[in-house]
Amino acid sequence: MKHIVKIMTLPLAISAFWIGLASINRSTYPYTWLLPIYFIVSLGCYGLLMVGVGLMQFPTCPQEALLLRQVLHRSFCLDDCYWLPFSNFFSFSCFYKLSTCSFV
Amino acid sequence: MEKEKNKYSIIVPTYNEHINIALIIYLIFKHLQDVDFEIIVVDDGSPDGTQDVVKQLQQVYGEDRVLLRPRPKKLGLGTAYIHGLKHASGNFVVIMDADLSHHPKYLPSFIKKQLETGASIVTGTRYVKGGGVHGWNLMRKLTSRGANVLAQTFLWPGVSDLTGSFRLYKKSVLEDIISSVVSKGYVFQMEMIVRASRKGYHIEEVPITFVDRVYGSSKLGGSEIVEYLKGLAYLLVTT
Ligand SMILES: Nc1nc2c(ncn2[C@@H]2O[C@H](COP(=O)(O)OP(=O)(O)OP(=O)(O)O)[C@@H](O)[C@H]2O)c(=O)[nH]1
Ligand SMILES: [Mg+2]
Repeated sequence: MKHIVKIMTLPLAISAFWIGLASINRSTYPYTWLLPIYFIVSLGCYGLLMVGVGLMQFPTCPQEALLLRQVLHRSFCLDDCYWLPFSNFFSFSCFYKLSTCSFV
Repeated sequence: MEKEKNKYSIIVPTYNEHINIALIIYLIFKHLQDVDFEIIVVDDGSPDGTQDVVKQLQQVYGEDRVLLRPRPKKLGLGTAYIHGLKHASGNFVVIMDADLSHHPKYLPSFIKKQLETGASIVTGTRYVKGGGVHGWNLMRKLTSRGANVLAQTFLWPGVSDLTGSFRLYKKSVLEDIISSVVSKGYVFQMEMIVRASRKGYHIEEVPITFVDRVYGSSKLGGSEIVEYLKGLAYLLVTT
């Protein structure tokens, strides 16, 4: 079954319920036409709430960034010079002179 | 030992990563000491000399451990994975970025998780305890959370991080799903995992941290958001 079908069963059930209600007696349930609006508004609120909560609890890892920089610095930087791993085995040439090596 | 029989092919797509590729290969060898693996670099004709660096690394580590499988020009990430997959000789495939956002120190935990659970896919997730992201501004976080809430509400994918691309696959499973994936960009990763989940494959998650690339800025802009929404709608009606 396509996913859209699964998802659509929920609003469909709700609208069936709503049509049922609306068709009974308009004077007994005068505000039934508000139901789908409630549904959409609460869906929106749920979405906004989830995004807000997710944003507040957003997991960050500044220490990981520092650790990575330290590892790279320890392994590859000498005198503001970027040594690539293979340079240990062959000619020691400065592969890249760049600001990367003053980052820690 | 179980570990002995398995071989892991690590596919690393690159475009202009001549520094990062050397660092990441060094780090992979450092963190995967007693595992049988090969690294497949799929470079799309980077003008910065990425391929020359890889060739030098082949001299050090061996051409059977570091494979260079280049393509003539920039053809996109999705097809780069397919290209790399064709040359993979392992029974497991790992996909990771070359820009050091995906730290090779997590590779053992992917492998361990797979051995423990027998999962078909182990996906790295940033949004659980022990995971995290560094270097994103508020806007980037907001779009990421919004995209995730939308996808969780409408797609019910069963995993917490849909757009991450640090994953381990059984090779046969990757071959099976990648052929049916049509999306590009961020949606590609999402489509892969949604299709896998729909097919009933066993998916496990491990926490990873994601440190944004130090140089260059993120490409997530208005057009990516539109692409994402289109992709979401596409997945709703096709899976
Ligand atoms: N072979 C190949 N590799 C690519 C292509 N585009 C990107 N890549 C590589 O794919 C990986 C992820 O790309 P990134 O540019 O980091 O994408 P991103 O992480 O979404 O965006 P950033 O914020 O820039 O890091 C990197 O290793 C790139 O070098 C491409 O067209 N072909
Ligand atoms: Mg990146």
